[in-house]
Amino acid sequence: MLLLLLLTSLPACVLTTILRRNVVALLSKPRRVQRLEHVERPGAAIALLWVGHATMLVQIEDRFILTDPVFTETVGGAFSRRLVETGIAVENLPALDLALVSHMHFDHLSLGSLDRLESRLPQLLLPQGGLVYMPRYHFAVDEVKTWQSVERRGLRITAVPVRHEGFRYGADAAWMTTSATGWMLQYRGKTVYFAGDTAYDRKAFLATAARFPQIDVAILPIAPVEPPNFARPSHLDGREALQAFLDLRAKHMVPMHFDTFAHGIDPKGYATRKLREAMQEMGIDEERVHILPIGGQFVLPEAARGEGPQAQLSSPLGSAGAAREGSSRFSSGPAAASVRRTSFPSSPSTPLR
Amino acid sequence: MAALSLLLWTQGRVRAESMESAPSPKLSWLWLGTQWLPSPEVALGSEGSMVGLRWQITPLLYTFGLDPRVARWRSFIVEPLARHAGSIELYAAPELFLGSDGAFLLRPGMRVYLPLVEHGEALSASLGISYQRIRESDAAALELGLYFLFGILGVQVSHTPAQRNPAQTILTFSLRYF
Repeated sequence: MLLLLLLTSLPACVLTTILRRNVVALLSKPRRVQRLEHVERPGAAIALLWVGHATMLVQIEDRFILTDPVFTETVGGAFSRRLVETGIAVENLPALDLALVSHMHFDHLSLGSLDRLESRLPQLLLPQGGLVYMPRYHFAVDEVKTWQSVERRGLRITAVPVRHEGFRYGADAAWMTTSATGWMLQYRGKTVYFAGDTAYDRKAFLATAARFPQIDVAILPIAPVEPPNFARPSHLDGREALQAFLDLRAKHMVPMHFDTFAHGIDPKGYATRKLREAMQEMGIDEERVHILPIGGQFVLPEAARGEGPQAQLSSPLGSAGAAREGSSRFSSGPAAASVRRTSFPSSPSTPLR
Repeated sequence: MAALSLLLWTQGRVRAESMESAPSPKLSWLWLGTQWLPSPEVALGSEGSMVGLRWQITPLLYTFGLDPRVARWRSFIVEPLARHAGSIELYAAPELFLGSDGAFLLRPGMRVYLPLVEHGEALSASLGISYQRIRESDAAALELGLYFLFGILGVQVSHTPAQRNPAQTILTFSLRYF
């Protein structure tokens, strides 16, 4: 990420701000989060635990998948330290079925984290071209091309197109053009979309929606927001993420990729504030967009699945903590309650901007 | 220079065992530009101390730290992980010592990289041997290195036990990108 920043002709003040924020983070301890005691949700159709940044523990019934696993305290050659500790410790993870890596940037592919997961991970999926960035591991590692699917224990994982860079070190941008992807996770009729990191690409999102018309939850990045000339070519802000959510025709959206590392100049809470403003402007119901704190969990009960956006959020901090994190609805009870019904738009979306 | 250009152009062909889908490194302006960045160094020897600059090229490298399905051979363009996750490198290092008694040194050598933290991306070490000839003085040198931040930053110490050598011990602050 540092190299990426250095190699993109950022204004000196922006670069200085990012460097300063990272130096401060290096000298500080990551903010503690209160973690859930039990992350497994028996009876839930889908449960998403935000571990931080792009790391989500996805439960679909009895299957568990980790996305972009980052559990180390630093990324990018120990340069960038996390601002907030992880939402779950590695030793408290349930038995995993799979891990997915969306692309090769240091905040998404963490070799140190994979070391920690090595004994509990059976298989890792990478985008096409990703294998050259992989050391020897004991778990199986496989590349998946766009629109190709892999099946494991009833799970069907498909690589779906996104718009992002696949390189890791900078100079490899000259030849590493394919190793960035989104993922579609399907199991027993439930569907979860994970975007990884992406810019707004209407064509890609509509093509994905055409192939996967029943997306239950879309996990979408909403940062970095600023500066736009750096962020927009490869990242979604809140408004664009909402547009992607509409394009995908998903029932629920869970935002990610914010307030975990100092990878931009956005102050804490800025990305979610922008998301809320865009939700109001675009008239998107708060029942459909679930902003989690790190360590918080979104649970979609089986009973609520077919009827629309009925879901619940669990926070280790309870409702007070949820309010502090700015989420609209939290409860700390079991995954059974439902909220209210709303209808979905029949057309894919309104045009972006 | 023509030979070097030819080698650069054809270097991808060394990757004979490469996976069918694996993209091959390509020459880029960014890579080419960064190869001119020198590493500062200080030499201590029979004539006192000298300040110098070192450049490094890798005609051939065998990596043993990557996934077994990935091609093992690299030539000139070497990704940091391929080098620092574990590799054996044949290198050539032109070195220029500055000052009125300046000297030029061309050092061919071989080096083994070993990963220490996060498969070498955060920290790796090297052990090497090289031949150096400076002001009619021939010697074999042993070298130790330590590298951080994907190998971009590092420290190398080379030492030759030969007497009356103008560059008996060289301390290099290694700056290397790819």
